[in-house]
Amino acid sequence: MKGWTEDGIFEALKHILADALEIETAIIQPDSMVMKELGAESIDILDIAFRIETRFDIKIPEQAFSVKPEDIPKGKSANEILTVQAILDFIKNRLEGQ
Amino acid sequence: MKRRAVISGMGIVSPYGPGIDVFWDSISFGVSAAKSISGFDAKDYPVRFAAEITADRYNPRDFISNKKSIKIMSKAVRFVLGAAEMAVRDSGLSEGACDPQRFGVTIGAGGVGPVDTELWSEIQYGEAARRVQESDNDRENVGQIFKIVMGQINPLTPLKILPNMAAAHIAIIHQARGSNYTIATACTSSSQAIGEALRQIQRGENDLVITGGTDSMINPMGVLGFNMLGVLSRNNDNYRKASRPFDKKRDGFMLGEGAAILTLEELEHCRKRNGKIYGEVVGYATTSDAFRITDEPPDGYGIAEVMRRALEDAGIPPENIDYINAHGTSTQMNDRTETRAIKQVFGDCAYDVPISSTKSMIGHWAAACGAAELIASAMAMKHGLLPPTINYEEPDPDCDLNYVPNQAIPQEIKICLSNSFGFGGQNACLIIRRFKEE
Repeated sequence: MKGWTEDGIFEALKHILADALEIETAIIQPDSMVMKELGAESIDILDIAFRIETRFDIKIPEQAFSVKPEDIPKGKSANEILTVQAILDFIKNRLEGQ
Repeated sequence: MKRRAVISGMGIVSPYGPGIDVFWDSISFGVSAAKSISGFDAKDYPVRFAAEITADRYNPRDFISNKKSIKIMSKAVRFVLGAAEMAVRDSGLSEGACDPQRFGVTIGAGGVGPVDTELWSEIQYGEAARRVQESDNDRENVGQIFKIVMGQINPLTPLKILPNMAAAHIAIIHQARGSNYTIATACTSSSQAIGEALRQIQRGENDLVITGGTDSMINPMGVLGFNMLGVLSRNNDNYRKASRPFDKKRDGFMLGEGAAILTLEELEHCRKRNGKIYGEVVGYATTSDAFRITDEPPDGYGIAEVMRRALEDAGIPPENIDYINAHGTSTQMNDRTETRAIKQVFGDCAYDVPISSTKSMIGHWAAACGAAELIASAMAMKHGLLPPTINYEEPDPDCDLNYVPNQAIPQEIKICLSNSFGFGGQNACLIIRRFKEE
């Protein structure tokens, strides 16, 4: 994964989230909900995606993290069910694909 | 019965620091806010000074509780949220004291927000700039360079550019769900904003309006742009003397920046909650020169007309005005034209009424100047002290009125008139009066 370890990715992501959302890294867990629990709003997801692109040198199409359509509850957006783990998996996936 | 509007709270973020007290103390002692520009490297610029708000004087984090939102705020928005927070605290308004649906926001804003200093330095000194320097043929690389620049711009940057963001953030923070306007008429913006807020209260649209203005033009584009228009003083060597309204040797204005906010409140609403009253906004008018973009008509008909109409709106004859806070930019044209217009409206009493320009000290805050100057006027009224026009040394035969030269003068002030004029020819005039029962 381009020299990244799993722990290294999680650590880097925690710092990105902490900077973007002005929160402490200590409260960020893999199962944290990015909007509901970490306080993000839609624009923060764009910002987080931009920071991830820059930090990991990967491309995120349309600044969106892919979520399976069947996983999205009715009346909700993909962002609303986004967890830290989902972003981690996304980054790993991208890094492995390169 | 006509609904009346009073100023129940004031807040300001100025180059002197946050708060109306440090602002008033500084201008009443005639302290210039001029300094060498430090926000960006201006050493090769034709103008290298301004009345700048430096990071050691103002930290938006002291005033904005939703810290993560700061990243999407332009400098002007960071200023205005501090000013709005202070104004609301000053008003003593407790939570729930105003129906959120009748709680409005009207802000004068504009300027060249898009060219944020950070973004500009990225373009100037970032990867794209390096690519330009390394390239043999710039033209072939334009597309590539544009791609690099775009790739380095955070996707939230557009939110720093939108002019309505100041009013939007204020509404979110203070839960003001009534009408919400942004006025962009260059240097007339914030006076118009306050005037329009007055009308909202008079016509029953809102009971309380957070109003005023904010601007920050002290960035590479602002300094270069105004310099190219030939309106900035280039007195780099003696910059504390650069802004010298009505003085014969004036050579242009000094850029300033800041935010000035009032809570304008319907009188009965303010009384019911035992709010404080700095004064009543009793007159407002706005006109357009419809002449040329940056030239004023030599006889100043648009300026004269706006003062006449504001006096008419207030039902006050010119001889009752105790103090005029002039637009007084320190350009040859503005100060001459404003003087002529005052003479047309005030006739013989033009020579008696004290006139001063706060811009001699704080510089020109562009979209925010009118609100800052209305706060100066309200404080002058409260303290019974006419703030001076500093750097007034050599009289100009074209500007022969009483400009309160260099030193503040104690004097009872019951009614003040404040002028603002903008590039584009829009003019506004506000009249405030010490509060009295009727």
